[in-house]
Amino acid sequence: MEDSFLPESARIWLEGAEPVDLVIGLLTFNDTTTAPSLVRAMIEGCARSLPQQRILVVNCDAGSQDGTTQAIEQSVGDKARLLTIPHAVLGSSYKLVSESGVPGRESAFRILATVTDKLNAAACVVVDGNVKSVDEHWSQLLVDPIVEKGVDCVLPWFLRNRYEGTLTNTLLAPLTTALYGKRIPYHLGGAYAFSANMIRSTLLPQPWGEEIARHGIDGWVMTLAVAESLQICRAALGPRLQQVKPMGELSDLVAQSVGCLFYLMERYQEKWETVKGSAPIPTVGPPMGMGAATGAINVERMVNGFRQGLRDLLPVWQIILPAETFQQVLELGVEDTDGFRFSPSLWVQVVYDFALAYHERLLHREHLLKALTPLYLGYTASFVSGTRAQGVEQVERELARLNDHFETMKPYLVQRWRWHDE
Amino acid sequence: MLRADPLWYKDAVFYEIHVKAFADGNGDGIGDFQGLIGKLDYLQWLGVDCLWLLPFYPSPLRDDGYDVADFRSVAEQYGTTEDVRRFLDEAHRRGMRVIVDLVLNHTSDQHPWFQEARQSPQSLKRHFYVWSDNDRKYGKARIIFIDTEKSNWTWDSEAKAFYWHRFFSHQPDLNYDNPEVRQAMLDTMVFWLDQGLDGFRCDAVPYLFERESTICENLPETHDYLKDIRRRLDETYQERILLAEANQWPSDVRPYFGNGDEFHMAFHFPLMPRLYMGVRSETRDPIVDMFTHTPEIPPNCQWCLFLRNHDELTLEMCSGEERDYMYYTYGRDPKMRRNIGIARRLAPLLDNDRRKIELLNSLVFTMPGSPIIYYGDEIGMGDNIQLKDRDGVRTPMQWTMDRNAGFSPCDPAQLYLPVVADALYGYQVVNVESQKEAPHSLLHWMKRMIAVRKRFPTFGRGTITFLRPANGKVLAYVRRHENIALLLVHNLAGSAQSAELDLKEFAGSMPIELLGESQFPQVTDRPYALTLAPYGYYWLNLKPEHAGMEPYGIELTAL
Repeated sequence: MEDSFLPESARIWLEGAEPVDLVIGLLTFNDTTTAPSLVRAMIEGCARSLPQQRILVVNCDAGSQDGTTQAIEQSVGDKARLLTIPHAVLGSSYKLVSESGVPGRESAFRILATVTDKLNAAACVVVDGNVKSVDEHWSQLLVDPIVEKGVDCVLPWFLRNRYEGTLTNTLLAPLTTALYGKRIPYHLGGAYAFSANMIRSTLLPQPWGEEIARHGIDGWVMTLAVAESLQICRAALGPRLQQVKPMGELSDLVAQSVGCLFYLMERYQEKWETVKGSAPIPTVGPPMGMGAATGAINVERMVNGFRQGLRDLLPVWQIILPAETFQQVLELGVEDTDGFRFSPSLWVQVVYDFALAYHERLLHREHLLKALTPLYLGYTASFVSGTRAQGVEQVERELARLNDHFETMKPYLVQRWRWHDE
Repeated sequence: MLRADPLWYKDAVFYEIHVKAFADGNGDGIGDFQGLIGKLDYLQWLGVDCLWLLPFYPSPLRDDGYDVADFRSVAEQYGTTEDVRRFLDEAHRRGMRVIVDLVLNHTSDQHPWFQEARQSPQSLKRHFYVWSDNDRKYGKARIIFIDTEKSNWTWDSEAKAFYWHRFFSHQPDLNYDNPEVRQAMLDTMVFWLDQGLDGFRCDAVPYLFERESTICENLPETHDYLKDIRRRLDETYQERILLAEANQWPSDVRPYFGNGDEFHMAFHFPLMPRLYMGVRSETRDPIVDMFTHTPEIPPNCQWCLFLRNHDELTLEMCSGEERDYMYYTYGRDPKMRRNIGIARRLAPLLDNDRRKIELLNSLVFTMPGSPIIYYGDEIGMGDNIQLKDRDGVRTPMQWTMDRNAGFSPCDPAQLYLPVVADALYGYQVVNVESQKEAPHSLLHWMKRMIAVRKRFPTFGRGTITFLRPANGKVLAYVRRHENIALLLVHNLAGSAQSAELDLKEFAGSMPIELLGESQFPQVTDRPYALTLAPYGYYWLNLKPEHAGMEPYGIELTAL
């Protein structure tokens, strides 16, 4: 097995290590205020719900300067075995946006997968070191489905307020659902759990050195879970409270997360083009709805962001969008803020046209992806202003309607995608 | 779709077109409306807002259409009135407005009015023109076309009288003391406005009336009549404009704006040669001086700025010394000189130096006013100084490297003028098609500059404050409108320059370069140092420290 990417010390440690049942991977970068309590909660949770399991905590650290690794060592003490591995951070990794703020997450995932495999562990749980809301139930929610039910991948499902996850809810999740037919929450990061089977059959053989690594590991893993024939479920983990880290430019975030999906659409074309409809995935944990809080959303600023895109990116959009879609987008420019309405069907059309333009390489791909940002702002502004006065149920209904649009308009995507390939 | 805004012309980028020169739709070798309609997509792509068409009326073409023989129809070779209407609809559909030339001052001697007038002193049209039994009246009026005309009077043997003309002798001046003339020209305007035109570029407006013992220019009677026209326009139509051609000093042009109740716009003629002087002499003085002598204009009015047009680069508003300098530096070959000026296009005037072309365009795009692009200058078209009069700058538009530059499928011998075919500017090298393919071509640069300019109403509506760095080769000014401040810095020299700018007033702001959106070092109380490449320029948005940083509210939770 390829392990040259592992630090020498880790390789030596692993050669003499005894097998374990469960690897708890902790990804950290200057998380001294949150990681010690987090790791304690995970260990205690395992001790309570999985008392027979032999546990190894692996702390993949991106070079913390605040004593994170030492604080974790102290916190773990003799309650579990601990392996600290400083993971490699490539220059390009610093550009990647992640809520965890840990650069080089893809390297850390690869290390955790390799360690899990080498030690013949049955599962690997990955938790971000900046999450504050981890409690002792998380271990059970994440690991039980794998150990007890033979699930391959447990995806996180967090309780979110109505306008949290706007990009996830209006693009990433519904597009993934429409493509692969599985209704997943598409909550990126926080916590995952993988079975030994998934690690061996799917994660380790990934082309870790290739372009996909530049799109961030989270979307990659999420797509693997639905595109490969794996047993998946979602774990209801409650609210996700975390130490907030800088997220970078919104356009970088859009480019990275949407780019990941588009990139993998090319790889998994054969899987998604024949899928029709969608089905929910099993859930573990208590049922959750959507929180009611709206947060400080600035609709006017978003509409202005859309208008600025209209001024600055018109020639780019003209290349990407077919004439009819382009015309509809143009017409939005004359709406005043109060009357601004970006219809769900137009939004889905725009997303599909961007995917097609990405596939057809009509523009430099990063420019193309970033050019989607003002349109996303426009649709989000419209979505928020159209539902703000309504209850949470209405927001959920609107999102369900949007999902339907993604599914019903999929034949357009499939037809044009194939047409280009021919 | 046209954007509703009564002050649209303040933000607009204009594009000047000669119908005969743009595109030939019927293959007869002469451009026409059919061809022009086919090129509207290109103009929309370029991003221009308003097209200015040179005269397309029936004419004997002794002054390239400015000798009008019928004000209310279309010259047969260009199409029909129906074609014009279709063209207007298509332009409007693409968000572009259209203004046309209207020659108020005179007609062709072939106009039926003149033909009737010359027949006898009793003719009903006799007083449509200015007659005299001698050639000594209005002796203080200057002769404009001094290289072709000896007098402003010409003897008409049929009328047995002298008739008055400020331009060519085949262009008799209309007699605006005659109320019928005033009404007839108003009716002409109404006719075209009813077809859908968005306004007029009014040719030679200072010369409408004549009064003894005056120079017969800029007379109060002229202003009274122009105000009448404006009143009529405003009463009946919306968002239509009047643009004055008055080749005068800014202080003399100022009255043509009235109190915002005469012309909406006027050309800033004297600025144009001074832009060229500034670049050649590597000093900002001529340009800054010209603005120092430019009076304030009413808030609903606007200057039109241009680098080149269908006429010669006029030096009328230059002193003898300045004229000599301009001839020496830009028109050494006598074939380049026409009347009091230099009949060359932009690129040849600037030795085809892309840096200078960009620099001068940057100036007209950023100084107070609305810029006008002369057709073909967006690709750096050349000229042909061997052709007569100003034909050298009116050659067919160069679309492709195919036959006749893609302008017409006709036999090359049929073309109204030969295409430019020399080694440097020939259509095989300089054409729209090839420049569209090349992302760094002049054409793409122009398109980008137009797009950037449109993002900031500050360019069209803002005030100007000149900065005066110690380095006189650097021209820097701040344009301000509402809460936006733009810093424009130009190096007029052919060598790299540095300058320290006093930007204390903007301390704390973050300059953002408008073309690449890159951030420059923060402005402080200390002199702000900039270095500029030869003929380099910066367009910087002086953003207050926290401006634009107001969050959307979704950034941290988007995923």
